[in-house]
Amino acid sequence: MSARSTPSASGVITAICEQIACGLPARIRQAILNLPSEVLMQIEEIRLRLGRPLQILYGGRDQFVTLQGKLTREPEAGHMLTEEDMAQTLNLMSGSSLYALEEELRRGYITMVGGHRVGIAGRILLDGTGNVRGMKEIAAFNIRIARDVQQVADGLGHLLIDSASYRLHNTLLISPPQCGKTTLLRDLARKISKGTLHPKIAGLKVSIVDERSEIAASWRGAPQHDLGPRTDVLDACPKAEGMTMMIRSMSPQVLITDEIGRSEDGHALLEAIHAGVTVITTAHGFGMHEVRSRPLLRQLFELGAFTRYLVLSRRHGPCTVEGVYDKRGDLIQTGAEVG
Amino acid sequence: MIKLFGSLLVLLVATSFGFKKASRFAERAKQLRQFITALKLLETEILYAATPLSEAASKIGARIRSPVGTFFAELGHMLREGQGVSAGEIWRETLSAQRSALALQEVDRDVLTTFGQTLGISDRQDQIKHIQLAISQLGSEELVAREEQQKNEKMWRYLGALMGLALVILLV
Repeated sequence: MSARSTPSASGVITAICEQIACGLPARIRQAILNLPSEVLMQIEEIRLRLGRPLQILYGGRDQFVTLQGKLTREPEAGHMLTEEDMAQTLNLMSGSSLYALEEELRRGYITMVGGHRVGIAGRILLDGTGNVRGMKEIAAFNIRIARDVQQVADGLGHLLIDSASYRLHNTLLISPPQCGKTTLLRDLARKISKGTLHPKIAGLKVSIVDERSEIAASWRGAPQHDLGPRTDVLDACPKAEGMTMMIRSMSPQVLITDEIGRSEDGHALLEAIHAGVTVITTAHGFGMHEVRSRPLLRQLFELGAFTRYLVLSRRHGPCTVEGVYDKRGDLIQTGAEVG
Repeated sequence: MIKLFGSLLVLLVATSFGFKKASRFAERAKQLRQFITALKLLETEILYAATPLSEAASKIGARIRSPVGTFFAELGHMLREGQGVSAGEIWRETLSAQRSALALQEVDRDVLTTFGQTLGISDRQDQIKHIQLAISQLGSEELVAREEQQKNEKMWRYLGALMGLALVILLV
């Protein structure tokens, strides 16, 4: 896993100036844009909380920000966000049309142009049956700047391909949160779609069922990340239903989705595999022992649904491959040999 | 000769003044009808497509005739440039900026302003309720406007011409 390209520093600054800034009220925007550029290019999160100071997270550190764009460690010195600031932010993020964000408010996040994701928290509204219907009195925004990390799947091609038939393996990526599952999945989708994963395999039709809008980060229907030329995305669709829909409508050769967990997901996944579609998906977990012990994963394991298991960790940064296992759960390659 | 010419001129001016006054009544009823159509379009955009307000307003602006169409086109433009100002505020500002172009009366403007304050700040269901309320209020205003139109339109047309005639007789 040596060659990986993160977006250039100037790319991140451009993203902040052009995509993030227009979602912030004028004075907050000015404060953020006044930050030193070496801070700007490392920004991971911008956090706005009602009545509390403006905060940014960059390069693994967190600091508060004054209206002049100075960093400070003292919470009291940072700019305290007023109700006006929060109302303006919400108006800008929603284009003054809260009703257009109904679905987003129910899920608790908004996707911005460029695939940046804004987490929101406030007071939850329930419907008659106790389900979350929406949100009001929004008191916190967490703007997470998206960085499309490419080339993380380099050197994995030969592991995911059946050397006899030159077919892609049905693959399960297993990893704890924050270890780059989705990043790797996205890069795999891009490479398979472009046909650059393995020299023997041409570009394939890829369908992505993006239940949480994380893989493609679609904004008004258009994926905000590059996913290759042969990729279709079904945005915000429940996985089980989405997989069946995509097989019926888009005749995919490879079906990609993330975080299978419910039993209907497993059912749809088996259907896809029986239909001759290659499935690549992910699950939360720390190793192969969880595949053998968790109900749904064990069932799929026993049925031999997956022919490759990739276990990820963060040991050498996100997307570190810890081990590659075959259909029977035998280790075929350890992390040290990969890449 | 000059006398005849002058009398004709006075008559012409007075008649056109009367017609203008009369058309004001017809214009009000027409514009209220256009606002109702516009709000019905907005209802569809919100209910079925959840189109953001700026986009919806521009679409409506392109489909409805001026001056009501111009109002919505302008509203869409202002919403895009809004810098975080609430939609209600922008609606109010646009309404007062377009005041002279619209043949509306105080009571019509009140209905529209009150409706504007609810724009964009709640979920779809609630938005639809407010739109429907505004449509029914504008509908009853339209009825009043039509009645007044029938009563006053003819009167002003005759009145203009007759006033002109009276003036001519007095002056000659």
